[in-house]
Amino acid sequence: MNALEIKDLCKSYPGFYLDHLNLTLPCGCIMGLLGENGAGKSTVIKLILNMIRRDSGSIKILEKDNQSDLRLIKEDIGVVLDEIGIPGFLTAEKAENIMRKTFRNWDSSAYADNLKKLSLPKDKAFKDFSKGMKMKLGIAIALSHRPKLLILDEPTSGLDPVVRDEIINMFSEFTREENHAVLISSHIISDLEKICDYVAFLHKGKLFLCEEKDLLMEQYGILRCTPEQLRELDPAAIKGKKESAYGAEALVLRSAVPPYMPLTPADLEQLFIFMMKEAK
Amino acid sequence: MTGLLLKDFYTTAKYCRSFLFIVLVFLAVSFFSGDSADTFFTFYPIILSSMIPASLLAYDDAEKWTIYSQTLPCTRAQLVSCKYITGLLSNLTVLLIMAIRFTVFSPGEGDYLSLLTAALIIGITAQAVILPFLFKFGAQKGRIIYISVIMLFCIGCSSLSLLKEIPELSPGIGTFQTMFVIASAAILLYAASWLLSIAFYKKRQL
Repeated sequence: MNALEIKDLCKSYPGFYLDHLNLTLPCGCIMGLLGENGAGKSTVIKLILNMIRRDSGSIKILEKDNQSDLRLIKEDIGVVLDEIGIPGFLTAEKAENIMRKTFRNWDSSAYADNLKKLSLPKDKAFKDFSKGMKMKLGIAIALSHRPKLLILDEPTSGLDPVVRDEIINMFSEFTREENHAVLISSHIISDLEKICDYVAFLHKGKLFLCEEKDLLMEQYGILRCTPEQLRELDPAAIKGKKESAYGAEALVLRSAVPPYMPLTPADLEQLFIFMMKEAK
Repeated sequence: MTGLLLKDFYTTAKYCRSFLFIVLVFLAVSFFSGDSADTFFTFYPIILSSMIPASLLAYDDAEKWTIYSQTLPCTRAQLVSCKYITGLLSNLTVLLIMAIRFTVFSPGEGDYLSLLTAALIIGITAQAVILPFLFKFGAQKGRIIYISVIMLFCIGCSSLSLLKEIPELSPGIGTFQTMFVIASAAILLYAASWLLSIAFYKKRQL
């Protein structure tokens, strides 16, 4: 079963066009959604949640059309947006009272555990939380009603590295269940590299690439050489390059590079930066 | 929807506590005032209570609850209905306080049923007119229309006070049949407004 299926999704705004997006997220997997600012990541998430109307295409969440009975579907989705819109005067305890009466599968003991793991106070007003604490409360709520799919928009933004690591591990633990999946959009590519099975690069409303992360990193490498050596390569092998007075650095297809040219592994951030710069 | 109503209850209890104090003060002033000020001080509390759903919508927009609620398992129709239900409950609370004020502090003075019916008509009509604009345009833009409606209402109140002095017209105002017809029209207007707000909010892009 696929947790998320997006087919030929289109949405236009003045100056922006989401162009026939096709994405599939299998159950048991984590997909990272990467893109520059304005690439359309938040638009895709809003379309999935039906917060905005799509121009054309289809979206299926847990094999159900997202426009047919979204209320029931949302029982099985945990969502963390870049801003947690909980009223400022509410405490974690009062927020739970509301969520317990909103979600059918609300799990109070899971919520209490999540608050403890994330070191969140029960009786402090939300407006007095730091940015990171607000995000942590959003994550605690999203994980506390037995969701099957997590949709996360910049969930680790504002968090310190130690907490980010704990939360990334929580998301990774979440997908141990075969019928669980995570779609995560983030600019912190190192977090995505730790947990994602698939990565999708969005660029100006188009899906630039959607591939298994490990396969992607096996296919590409970083070549450091002189500009003259770089010009010897088949241009089709070069997916992005940087030239300076000191030399050239390029993202290349491993299979197209002669063995005498040593390559270093490319991390996800390098892959993304080189490809996006080339795409411009 | 119980969760949404609970959230609105918490918000009302937090931010609209002063409304209750003002309602009690105004009703007390209407008890002690002369005839000329009576209409205003009697009916202003119901206008205040009709502001509560609009205030809740403004807080929802400001605190980004409008966006966050889209991640919860509730329909847009439920989000709209919560405001209408909260509005009805706030009006009924004020009507209860008014009923106590008339029956305990002014027994035997005037036609209380007509006054309470008039207050209910005013309360639900004000909400019925204002809320669809707020759901369509958002709390900020909708406020301008809301203030215009309040001004029109105050002019209407003054006209009602003036009409009482015209003998030919005054027997027609406050008769049971007239009040019944107006009240029924107000209830129908409220129901139509409810459905219209749901239709507007379903189409709104957040």
